[in-house]
Amino acid sequence: MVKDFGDLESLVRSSIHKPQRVMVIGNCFYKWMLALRKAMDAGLISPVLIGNEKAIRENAEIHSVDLTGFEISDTVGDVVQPAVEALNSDQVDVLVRGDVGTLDMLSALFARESGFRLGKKLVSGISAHFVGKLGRLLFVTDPIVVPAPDLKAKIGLVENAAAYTAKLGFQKPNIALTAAVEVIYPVMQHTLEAAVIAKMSDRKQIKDCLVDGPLSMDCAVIESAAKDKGVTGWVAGKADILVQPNIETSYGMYKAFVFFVKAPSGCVVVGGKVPICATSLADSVETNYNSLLMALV
Amino acid sequence: MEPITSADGIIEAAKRVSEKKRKHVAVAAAADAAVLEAVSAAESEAVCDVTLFGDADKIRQISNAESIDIRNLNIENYPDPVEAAYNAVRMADSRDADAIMKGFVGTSTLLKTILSRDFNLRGKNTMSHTAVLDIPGYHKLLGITDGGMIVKPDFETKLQLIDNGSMIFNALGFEKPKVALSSAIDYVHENFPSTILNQRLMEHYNAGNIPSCELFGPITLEAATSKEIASSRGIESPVAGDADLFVVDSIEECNIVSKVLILFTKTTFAGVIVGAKVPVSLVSRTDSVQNKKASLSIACLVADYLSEHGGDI
Repeated sequence: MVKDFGDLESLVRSSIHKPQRVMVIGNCFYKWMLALRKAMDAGLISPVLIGNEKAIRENAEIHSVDLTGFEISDTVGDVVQPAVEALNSDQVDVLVRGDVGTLDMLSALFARESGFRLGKKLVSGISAHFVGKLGRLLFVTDPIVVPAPDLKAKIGLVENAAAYTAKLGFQKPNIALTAAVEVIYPVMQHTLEAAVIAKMSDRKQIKDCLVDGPLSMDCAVIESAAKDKGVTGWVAGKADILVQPNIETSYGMYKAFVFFVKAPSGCVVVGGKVPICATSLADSVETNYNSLLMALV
Repeated sequence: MEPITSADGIIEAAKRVSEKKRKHVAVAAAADAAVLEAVSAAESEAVCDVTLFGDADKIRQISNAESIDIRNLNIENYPDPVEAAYNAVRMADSRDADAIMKGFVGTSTLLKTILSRDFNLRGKNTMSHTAVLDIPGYHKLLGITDGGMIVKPDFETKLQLIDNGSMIFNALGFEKPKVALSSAIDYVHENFPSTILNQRLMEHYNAGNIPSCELFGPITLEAATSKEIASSRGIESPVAGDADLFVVDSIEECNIVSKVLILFTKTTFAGVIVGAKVPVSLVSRTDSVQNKKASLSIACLVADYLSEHGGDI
């Protein structure tokens, strides 16, 4: 079971035998160039940058990034189209967002003809944070794609997160459906949906994971807090994955972990034909590299 | 008054205010270790005077067991928590107490009592909870609302959250607090309902209808608290990177994001409920003594502000 990003890197290095094709949609940010450079030097990837070649090379020069070995597909106008073509001919393994709006990129990829969606399977974002105080990784979903998941989408978030963490060696991950409280209040819709999904898990309708909720943040990840409040069960205090009620909560948590807790972090979009890295401009080289590892695993 | 920028600053300011005129806190159902610890510390540091309403035997039992010094605290014996709360509220209603502290009684019971027709404590706004956070790495205090009472604020309710939260920052010395409206993206997009609601609030603000603060949104947590990030995204507002108050879109967002900060950084957290004519302080068992003192201190500062500004917001 992967405990931190170092473990994840070892796992990725041991499982990749041929460099994976990573395609950056839109002019690549220099903090991504540096992350890609590191992965390329380790023999993990072969990067393709889609965008304005001149601008990309100028940006690389300003930040002293060596682009030797990078393929640059000089493109004006629609930068998503070359990625779609690559998707359809199985020429790409990971997509990375460059200088193009996350939502614009996602909606272009989600279009039926792009070949990105796998039937009706939910596409969702997962972030991972190494929390020093817990000594392990905490996964959070969804900070990127699904703004306001309903009951059905929440089940999809649970299933995607369980399938994803299985690749990291979590055989039966503990999944907490978080809320502001750990009891059920009829006026709080999320507590009702959490309870329904927890019961579905009890009845084995959701497989390969243990799900409980509603759980407040402290009852989900701090064993003593769960104990103090008399919250029992397999998941309480030991959650690996937090499935959150809405995107504002997940996004705020992601940014709080990155900027205030300073926890090593990464994030990836899963559930489509290939994983997507869609960190923001403010994210560090380290966060980008971790995100790439999350996509390569 | 100089704007207050830290939790220590809050406590110091409350002491200064109490030097002029000592504030008095009425504790509703005081038989609770966390609460007794808070008021004992606040009293001994001259933040306020205290009257404990509650089961006198239990209060003494708890203070003995937990070695909490309550010698200087008045006790009014009301074994029934609901009755204790009622009488604490009555003390505030007659202006013998400036603030109420929640003890071993349900929040909803206490708030219903405060809003009851027996008393004249209703304000024009709904009552809401604001947590004032002193986060290592942020250059000032950050208020965040509402993680305790309002489940999913609509347009009208967000206006009241802005109003209530701004008043707290007025009491902390900020003439025109900078208020950020939280979303997961920094622009308006139809798939994100919070951005639509926040855009409507901005239209209302731009029409001059929210004069109490500087408002900006939709904006993300990182752009609201980092000028560098905000300017890299082309966001231009005095609020960006310098927010005093972060108005979130749901109780979960507020509660969970502030928990991350409290659990995993050395953030000091002071919660207060405003919207009535007296502020209500509440602390939980897991709060540190510093959190508890800061919470009581904010309540005292708000009480002082309200008494100088007509007692209503």
